[in-house]
Order: sequence, then C-alpha cells, then structure tokens
Amino acid sequence: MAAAIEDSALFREARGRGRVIVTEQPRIDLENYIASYVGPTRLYRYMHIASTSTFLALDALHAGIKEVKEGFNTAVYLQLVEMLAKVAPDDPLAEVDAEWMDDRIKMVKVLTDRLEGELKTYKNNMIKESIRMALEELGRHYMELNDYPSAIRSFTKMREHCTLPKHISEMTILLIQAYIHQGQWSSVMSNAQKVHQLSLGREEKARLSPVLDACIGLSQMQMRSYAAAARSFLAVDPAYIAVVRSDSNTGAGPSSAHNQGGLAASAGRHDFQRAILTPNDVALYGGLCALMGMDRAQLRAEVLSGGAPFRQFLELEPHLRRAITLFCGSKYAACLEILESFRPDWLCDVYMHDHVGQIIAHVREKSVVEFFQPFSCVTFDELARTFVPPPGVKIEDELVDMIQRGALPARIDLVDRLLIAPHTPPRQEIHAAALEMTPKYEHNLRLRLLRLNMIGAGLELKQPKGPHAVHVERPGVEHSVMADTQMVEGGDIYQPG
Amino acid sequence: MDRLYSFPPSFRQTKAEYDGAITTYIKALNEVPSVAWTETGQDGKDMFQRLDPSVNSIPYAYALVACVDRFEKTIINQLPEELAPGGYVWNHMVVFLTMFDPIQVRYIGREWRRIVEFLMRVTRIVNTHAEAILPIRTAILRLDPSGDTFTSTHTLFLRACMQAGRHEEALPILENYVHSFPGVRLPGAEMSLPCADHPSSNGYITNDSGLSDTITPAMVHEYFLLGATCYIWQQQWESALLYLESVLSAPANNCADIFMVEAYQKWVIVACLVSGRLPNLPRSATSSSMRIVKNVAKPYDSLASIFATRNAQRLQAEIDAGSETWKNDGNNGIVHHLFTQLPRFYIADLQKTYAAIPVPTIARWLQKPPAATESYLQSLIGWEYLDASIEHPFTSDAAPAVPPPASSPTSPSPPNPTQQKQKLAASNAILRFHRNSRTKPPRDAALEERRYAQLVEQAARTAALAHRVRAADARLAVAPPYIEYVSRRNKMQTGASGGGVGAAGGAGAGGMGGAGGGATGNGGATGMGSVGEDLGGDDDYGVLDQMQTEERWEGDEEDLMGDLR
Repeated sequence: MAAAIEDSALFREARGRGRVIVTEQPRIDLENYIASYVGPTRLYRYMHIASTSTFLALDALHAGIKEVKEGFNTAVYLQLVEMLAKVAPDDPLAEVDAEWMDDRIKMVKVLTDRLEGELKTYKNNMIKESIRMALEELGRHYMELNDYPSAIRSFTKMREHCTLPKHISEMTILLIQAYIHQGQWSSVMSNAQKVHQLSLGREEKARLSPVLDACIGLSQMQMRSYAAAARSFLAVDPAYIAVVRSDSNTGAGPSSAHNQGGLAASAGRHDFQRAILTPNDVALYGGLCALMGMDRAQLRAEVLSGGAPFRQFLELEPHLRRAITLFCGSKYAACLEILESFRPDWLCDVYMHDHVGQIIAHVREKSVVEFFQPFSCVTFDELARTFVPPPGVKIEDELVDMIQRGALPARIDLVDRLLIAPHTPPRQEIHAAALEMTPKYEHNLRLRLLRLNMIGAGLELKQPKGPHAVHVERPGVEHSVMADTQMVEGGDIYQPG
Repeated sequence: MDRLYSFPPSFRQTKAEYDGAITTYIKALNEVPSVAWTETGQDGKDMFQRLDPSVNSIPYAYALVACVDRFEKTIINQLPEELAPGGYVWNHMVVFLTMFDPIQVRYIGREWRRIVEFLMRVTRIVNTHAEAILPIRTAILRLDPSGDTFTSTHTLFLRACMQAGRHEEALPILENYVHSFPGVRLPGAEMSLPCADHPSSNGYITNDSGLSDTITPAMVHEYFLLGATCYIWQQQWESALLYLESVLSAPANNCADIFMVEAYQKWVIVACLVSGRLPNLPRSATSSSMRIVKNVAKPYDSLASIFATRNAQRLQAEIDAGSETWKNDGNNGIVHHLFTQLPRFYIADLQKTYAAIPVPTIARWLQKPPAATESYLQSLIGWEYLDASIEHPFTSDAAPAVPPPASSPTSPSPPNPTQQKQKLAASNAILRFHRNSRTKPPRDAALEERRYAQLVEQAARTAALAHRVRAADARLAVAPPYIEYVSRRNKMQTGASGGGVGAAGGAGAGGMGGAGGGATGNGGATGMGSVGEDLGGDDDYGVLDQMQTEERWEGDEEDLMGDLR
C-alpha cells in the first residue's frame, strides 16, 4: 500500500518539482496533531501532510475532505479531491460531489449578498461602528472561502472606520492572519510592527505582544533570516502558552469550536494560538532557529537557563530541549541523532517543511567546527564515527566543501587522512601581510599620481564634438605588421551608448 | 666663428650667469648662415671634427640639424649614403646622442628633438628600426636620468621598439614609471631657469622647451599600452598590469578611446594571470568610461569568470568559441597563456583546502600522468609559485626494496628499470603544502632575512614616491587654475581675519584635491598605517619606522585631501 502511494501520480509529480517527501513513518498522530488547531489552518495542514508524507497521505485526505464538506470552502474541497484522485483514483471520496458543490455555491452567494447588502445599509446610515463590524464580517467570510485578496481588501477598508486603537489592533491581527495564509511574509512583518507601535492599554498590549512576536518570528524564518527569527521567537512571552490552556479548560474543544459553525460568525474568531501557531510550534521554530543561529554560550544563557522565558516553551517539546542541551554539552552526535529522528515529523509541519534540511545541515556543520576546535588534528575515521555522513557521501568531500566555503578553518591531509588545524605564526603573517600590502599601496599611489598629473597637464580625454566617431590624431605613421599581442590599427574614439 | 668656442666658459658661473651666457650664445649662433655649418674649414676639418659633442653640444647639434635641413630641402626619394645608418652624418648623430651635455641641450630642445626624430625617420625609410633604438634610449635617459617626465619621444621610441620587435630594449625606459608631464614655465619663479637643479625633470622639460612635441591624451594612452605590451612579451605580468591600469586610470570625460578598450581587454587577462581571478577595477579608473569599455569587451569578462571557476574544459571551450575575437584583438597569445597557466592556479587553490595530497590524486584531478604531474609540481615549487615540497615515503634507497611488480610475461618488452622506478616514485609521491603548516622546513631565518630586505627596498620606493607626490603638490599649488581658486576664495573671505598664511598652508593640499578631481580617496592609507605600526612595534627595524612615518605622511595627505574636498 505504502509503496503504491509512494509511486502514485501525486508524489511522482512532487518529486519532479524537487519537493522533499517523507517515506518513513512519522511519530505524530494525525488526529491529535490536528486537534490543536482550528480554522482554515486545519485544512492547509491536512493538505500539506497529504502532499508530504506517504504514510499519512490517505488518512489526511479522507479527514480533510470530510471536514471541508462541513464548511463552505469549495476551492479547498476541489483541491483535496484532486489530490486524492492522484493518490487513490478508486477511492469513493475521490469524485467531486457535484450536488454538494452546487448547494454550497448557492449558499455562499446568498450569504455574500446578504453581507454586502448589510454593509451597504450601514454605509448609508453612516454609522462608523456598524460599518466596521460589517466589513469585519465580510472579511472573515472571504477568509472562510479562501478568497484572501478580497478578505485583505475588506480588512484594509476597516481602518478608516476604526475609532479606538483596540479596533486597529484587532483589524491588523485579522489582516496578519490573512497575509500568513497567503504567504506574504513581508506584509506580515510590516503589519506586526505597526501594531507594536500603537499606543494600547497595558492589558491589551500584554495580550497582543506575544502574538506579534511570534508573527514576526515566523515571517523572519520564512524569509530565511534564522538568527533574527530566533531572537523574535525567544522574545515571545510565556503568556502565549497560558491563553491556550485557559481556553481548553473552558471546554471549547477545538473541533467543537470549528463545528459550532455559523459560518462567518465563528470562523477566524478563535485565538491566534490555535488558528496559526500553537505554543508547541513556537517552541519548535524558536528552538531550531536558535540552534542554528546561536553559539553555545548564547544557547545556554538565553534558551536553556531557568530564567529564560523561552525555557517554558521548550518544556513543551522535551526532545528539542534535550537536543539543545546535548549540543551545549558538546555531545554533537547524540544531538544530531535526535534532530535526524524528528526530521520526518518536522517535514510534515507546514511552515517548517522548507527549512528542516537547511537547519539540520547547518547544525551538523556547526557541530563539526565546534568538535574540531580543541584539536590540532583529527582523523577522518574518527570524524566519520562521530558524524555519520549521509549515505553516499564521503566525510572528506563534506569537509572539503565546508573548507572551501570558509565554514571550517582547517586543512585536509589526504595522505594520512587527517583534518589539520592551520598554524599561523603571527610574526610571519604580519610580514607577509605587509609585503603584500605595500606594493599594492605603491601601485595605487602611482596610478593616482599619474591621473592627477594628467589632469593637471590638461590631458583629460574629451568627448568628440561631432555626432559621429572622430579620428584621433596620431602623429607618426603606420605600424608595420607586428606579431601577437599587438595593437590594432585605428584610432576611433568610442562614443558612449 | 671665433665665438663658436666662447661657450662653455672655462670658469665657474652661477646659474643666472650661465643662463645669460648661454642665451646670448644661442642668439649669436642663430645668426650664423646655415651653409656655414656644413662647410669644411681651411684646415680641412668640418664642424664635427672641430667640435667636441660633450662640450660644444650646441654648435654640434646645429651642424647636424643643418645636414638634416639640407637633405629635407633637396632630395625627396633617395636617402644619401651619409645619412643612412652607418653613414658619416648618421654616425655623428649617434655620437651626439650618446655624448651631449644634458644641461646645454635644455636650451636647444627643438634641435635635439629634430635629430632624434630624424634618426627614427631614417630607420623607417630604410626599414631597420632596430638601429635607432639604442642611441635614442641613451639620449632620453641622458636628458632626463630620473625618467620622470613624459615626452612625445617616449611614444615614438616605444613604437620603434615594437616595430623592431625588440621589446626588451624598451625596459630601461619603462622601468622609470613616468609621473609628470611637461609643465608651464613660470618666468621669474624660483627654479625657472632651465639650467637650474630641478627637483623634477618637468621643471626643464616644459611645453616651450621644444624637448617634447605637444602632448595629446591619445599619445599618453598609447605609450602606456605599448609599455604594457612590452612587459607582456617579457611575461612580467605585475608591471604589465601597472601600465594597463595606467591607461584605464587616465582621466576621461564620459568617453573612451581605442587604447582604453584594448587596455581593458588585456587588463582582464593579465589581472587573471596575476591574481587568478578578475579583481575590481582600480579605484582611480573613471567609472563612466569603464562602462563604455566593458560594453565593448564582454567576451573577456566572461572568459575571466570562467577562469575563476578553474574548469579547464569550459575554459578551453570558451577560448575556442571566441578564437576569432582573440585573434582580431591581437590577444591570442595571452589568452592561450591563460589556459596553460590554469593548473598553476588550480593547485594554488588546493593549498587553501589541503595540507597534503598524494601526487597521483592531483594527477587524476588534472588528468595528467603522475610522473608528468610530479615534474610540473616540482617546477612550480622551483619558481616559488608554490610553498610546498614533494616527499617520497619510500626513499630512493627503500624503493628497490619494495618488490617491483613482477614484469608480466605477457608484455613483450619489459619497461626499462629507471622508467619504472620513476613511475613508482611518482605513484608514491606526496605533495605537502607548507603554508600555515607546522611542518615547515627550517628556513624561517633565511625567509625572514629576505623579507626584511624586501621591506627595506619597498620603504625606499615608497619614500621616493612620496617625494614625487610632494613635487606634484607644489606644482599644482602654483598652477594658474589653483591660484585663481585661492584668490576667489580669499575674496569670499575678505573681512574675515586675514587668512594669509593659514589659508595658503591648508590650501596647498586642497588644491591637489581640487584639481585632482576623482584622483583622491583614502584607499589603503589607513590599512597601511596599521600594518606599519604592527611592524614597528614588533621589531626594531629602523627603516620600518621610517617607512611607517612616510606612510603616515601619505595617509595624512590623502585624508587631508579627502577632508578638504
């Protein structure tokens, strides 16, 4: 079965596009995993898992189709069905339910018209507050329908009808969500920073800042500035976790929250923590970005130490905490082993998918550099034992690549199969540097002096006056034929352009 | 005719007296009818026999010019025998050019130049370009031993060298990198007399001295391009680079000439040969002109970027693809040189990554047989391109101990033993790089001594250059545009407390910056200072201290110029 799925049209195409596919069995349990989210992100996550993991593809698609049919999102429904058809063409769910589609399209139209109509009435009455709320409803409605450009338009229009800073911040959070779903990361960032600058009440600020920090972190990670992303994630206040806990205590279970269903009434009205990033996600992204972008001292002080706010997040992902602890304790092999074992899971995460490979490779590289630091030379075999190279790759090739990229300050002895730390006697280095620098300096000084004197003597080359190339006057006569590396006859002045 | 010998006088004179005497003397000689110069006297001796070229340089030159005049007035298509190389007059011209008194000649520049140019014209007519090279080179160096000032003769001389194919003969001239150009003589100014001891040779090689024709930018560009070509022929790449960059750094107002284009093409290749990849253009180059030039020379840029990848196949393909271009531009030779030099840079790159590599491995990378690779590596080490050594783990004594592979009975002729040994040696050989390695052979002392000598030499060169910068500064401070600028500025400052001394002092360097246009900047100055300091602190080399001060001075100068700009 798994082999058949692995070979199905969907995954063949994905491989053709160079997408990383997971064929191992991931540790995550689909139901549990998806239960921590609400809103449209659930559907996207189903879709992502279906297109990444051969093991979970069928389950994810089935569950996804079932769920989407409870809502109004026909666009996502069509996508899911199409994917299922590529994986298992014979599946009963792999055919488009035309009746349901018609039904939903009609319902959506009615609803859209109703909301637009309401908005119009309010606009005629010119009551700001009502217009704002109508626009919000409309925006949420579009978001539910996967129509993000329209949703963003509605939310943006809300701005002129906002009367309180609180309104603006609520509006921007909605806008940010729409941008996140659309993948416009720079807009996410700029909007999040805008809210940061608003003058809000203390309580409001405490509620919003963690969310904003997480948003900024996420967009920085997506834009591949990992060190900055680590900083943003580490700054997220632990209050972020508390919101979810209190929420689940009140009994508003995630699925029920979604199924409560009155369409636009409920969708997108959940906490950011469920709709976009759970505290676990923050822990994962923050932890991995920190591992990639920070050195051991920084990790110890800002991630692992009991006083660090991020520590509370890290408790949610104990294996990641263990990996970071091992890295700080110079047990690189064990750390890498953990990272490798969780690679399939992380690949199944919709935002982490594109970064896992790069992050793990970089941590591995960093480990090699840190491992090598105290030694003057290490044998290849020792290195290969500590850092088992990926299959089909020789450790020396990996090292050569690292040295050539300037990541590893070392030299390779191919004869004795050693990695050697370079030896640089400072005195000779300085002499060599001076000997290299002074002729260059003299060289440049000569050129400048010549140029200066040429200008002083009025020998600046002027643009020819005529519209066409002018013959430069060349006193003296023809050159006889001269062999190679010889001048070409003629004295045309090249005109610009 | 009695007055012929009235100069030089037998007693010492001051410069002013000398100047007065020589001017009167020349005025008198100018009145002598030209026929008189070519006549034979009553004693049967002609002028050349009566005069000593090193003492009576002026009448000697007049006599020669009279011969030239006579030739030019009468005969057109036939060169008389006495003027042809080896002829009577020709020989006297050569004698004159090798023996003239350099001070006297400063007063008869036009005549001096006519003789030089006539010599070149003759060799062109009879197509023996080489004949004129030596006397003219001697004359140029005799007139201006410092080689500081550019004259039209420089370009003509290089052309002659090129046409004769005697590139090496040009080197003594090229070694003196010219910095200055014939200036304007300021009558009445200090050191305005041609006979004075000028700090720079352009004090007497002035526009109205006649020692040089009017100079055009193209003439200067051509000189530097030809100079670079000479160095390319000699495979002195660093010097060639300096000359090429001189063309690229020539001031230009948003345009470029053919010499700049050619210089850029050659520069791309020579720079690759010097540093292995295409460096940035010199900062002194005019960027607007370089844009134009780059547009015309695109194939070269792509060639350089392929060279930087060290991929022999791709480079070969690119060279083949552009063979027409290289040939038309006359760069075929150096482009192919680029290809032959590629392995050298490839191996030099290896030392950044490796400490030791078995020779057979390198051979495989280079796709060459191991024995050939080893000898190639040996030669690189011999030329000091590579700081490395080749080791044989099985020394020559041990090698026979290893049982040679039993000569297979199937092979009809067993390889001869020495060849086999060589092969065996190559297959065991190891290339060990010494850069940044602890296993460096114990020759640090020698190395340090050599480096010290190099530093001392460099310090002297920099000091000499600093002297020239000062001279340029002084010259520009009295140049009319600058004086105009200062007076304008002083006018603006009138009322403000008399800025006499202070303004003038500060303005000296400011003028350099102002007139110099884009020529300033502070590239390298600060870096140099710190290196000098490091050295000074580390060792107690007196010269280094001196060098450091010199460089400080340069740095200050540049900073000052930058500030004032």
